[in-house]
Amino acid sequence: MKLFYFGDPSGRIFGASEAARVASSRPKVVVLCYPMGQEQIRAHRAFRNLSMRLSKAGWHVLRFDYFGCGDSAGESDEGDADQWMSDVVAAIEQARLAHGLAKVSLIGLRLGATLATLVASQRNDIDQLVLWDPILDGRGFLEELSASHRAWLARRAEMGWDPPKQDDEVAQVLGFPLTNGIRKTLEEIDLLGLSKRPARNVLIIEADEDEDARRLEVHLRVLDCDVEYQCLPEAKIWLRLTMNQRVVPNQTLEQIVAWLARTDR
Amino acid sequence: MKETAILFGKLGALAGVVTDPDCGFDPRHRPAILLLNAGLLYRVGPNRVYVRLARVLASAGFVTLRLDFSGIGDSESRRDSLTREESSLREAQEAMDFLAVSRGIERFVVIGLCGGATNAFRITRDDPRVIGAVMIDGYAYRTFGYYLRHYGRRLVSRRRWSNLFTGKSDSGRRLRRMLQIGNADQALVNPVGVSYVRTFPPRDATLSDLCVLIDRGVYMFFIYSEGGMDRYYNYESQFEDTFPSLCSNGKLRVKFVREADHTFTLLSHQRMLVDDIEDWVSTTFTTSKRSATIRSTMAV
Repeated sequence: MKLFYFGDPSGRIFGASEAARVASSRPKVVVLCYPMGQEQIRAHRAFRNLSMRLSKAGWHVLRFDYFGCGDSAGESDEGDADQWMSDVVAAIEQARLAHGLAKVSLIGLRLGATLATLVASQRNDIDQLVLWDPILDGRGFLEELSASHRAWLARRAEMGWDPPKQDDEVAQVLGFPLTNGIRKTLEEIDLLGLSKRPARNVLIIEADEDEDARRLEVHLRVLDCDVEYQCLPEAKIWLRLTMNQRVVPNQTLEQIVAWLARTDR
Repeated sequence: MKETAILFGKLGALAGVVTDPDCGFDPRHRPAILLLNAGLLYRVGPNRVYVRLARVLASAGFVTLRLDFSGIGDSESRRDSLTREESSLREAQEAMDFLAVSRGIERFVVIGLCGGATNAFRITRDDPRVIGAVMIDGYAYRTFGYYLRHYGRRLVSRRRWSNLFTGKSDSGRRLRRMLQIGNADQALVNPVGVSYVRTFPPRDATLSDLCVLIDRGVYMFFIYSEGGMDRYYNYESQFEDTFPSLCSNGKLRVKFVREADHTFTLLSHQRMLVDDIEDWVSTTFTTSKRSATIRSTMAV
């Protein structure tokens, strides 16, 4: 594994790469796209585990942190979805350059899946795309985040504590800022409005069967994607609440690696 | 300020990010800071607060390394038979060795939250290169004042009395439940706190270690969050009541953060935490400010 920074000197992106451990006549590379905020922290170890599995299966792997997230440059209130999409593009370029490859595969979890899809639909070099519990609708995602934060505030009120100051209350979600820039760029997201095929092969994999994801499956088929849908009832690692438990959803990770191998043509 | 991702340790299997101050600061004149994993959270810390802390401390002239112990974040799991306690000490020492070789720094301050605070205490005790420690929600011991406040709050809670008289089950059992009598650890759960039980060394052992550390010249800053520690710590001067014999020295500082949860979720609490630590580190370990620090450090 290599840890390094890449990209624009003013907004350096943190990357972690894993070289393929199996020699292949046709090298291949996959870029992993994290979710955002608290979900990114909770998913970190599972992503590392996924990287190791992929490298053992013959893939070069790059994980990276968006600007203002993880170890990348920028404060948590400085990025937004447009910036993070630019970071996905930079990571794809980094991965292609590092290995001299024309095609790249993308795996994203939650908002990472959404950003990966949006970026992939603007390019022609994404071979395979894995959407792990993707966010389809930015407005719905914002409502979900706000509901989680309100529930946390309600538990806080049970302690008899004063409500947080107004500026804190409106500008954050579970420990991370929710700026107007983030809100605005997320509100514009609607994967069902996608008009261009993001990749030839797409896997949608979910912990719970969801009607929206099935609609996305149909929509991507209309866009001429070869789509596979899988529902594996495993732990939703991005929802884990305590900091002394760690869950790696083995079955989901196994299926992702198996699907990539199966559809690698 | 510059951030560099590193792999360090004897096997190069431990991950971290070093934040170096801008030119103009000679790193050898100040201790370097080690940020230790909060439980199993990886090196960015809860709500990414370690990243902000590292950058603020580097801006104040301190080389800062946020690292992952083995099996956490990007660090590999160990294949030997060391206990977690032994491996965290060894790996922190490898981090210090790395900074000694690469930056010429020989003195260190360790900072940790929860399990990181426990590690910070042990590492400080066991390695003489450590001259300061910040322990957030670390060791705490219940006192008479603790129990007084704990049960007193329940007795005056309107909601709890209301629950008692509106329910259908046995009143005696519910009275006990309301007062949370019988199993203190089971009882002391709060909605935003932690749901697991912490184990601390005996109070006398901690007192003995603290005395040794103070004699060694180590500075320590204990921070307790109300929500994270209300099983164990619930008022401002509890530390003073726990260790009255340490009252007169200027090496310890204690802060009780009211209405903060264990991971300092609110942005205002994160800012407060970062500002307090930066202020303590800067005033304690910047030579010109040392005398002022000793005067202003809270005597406990």
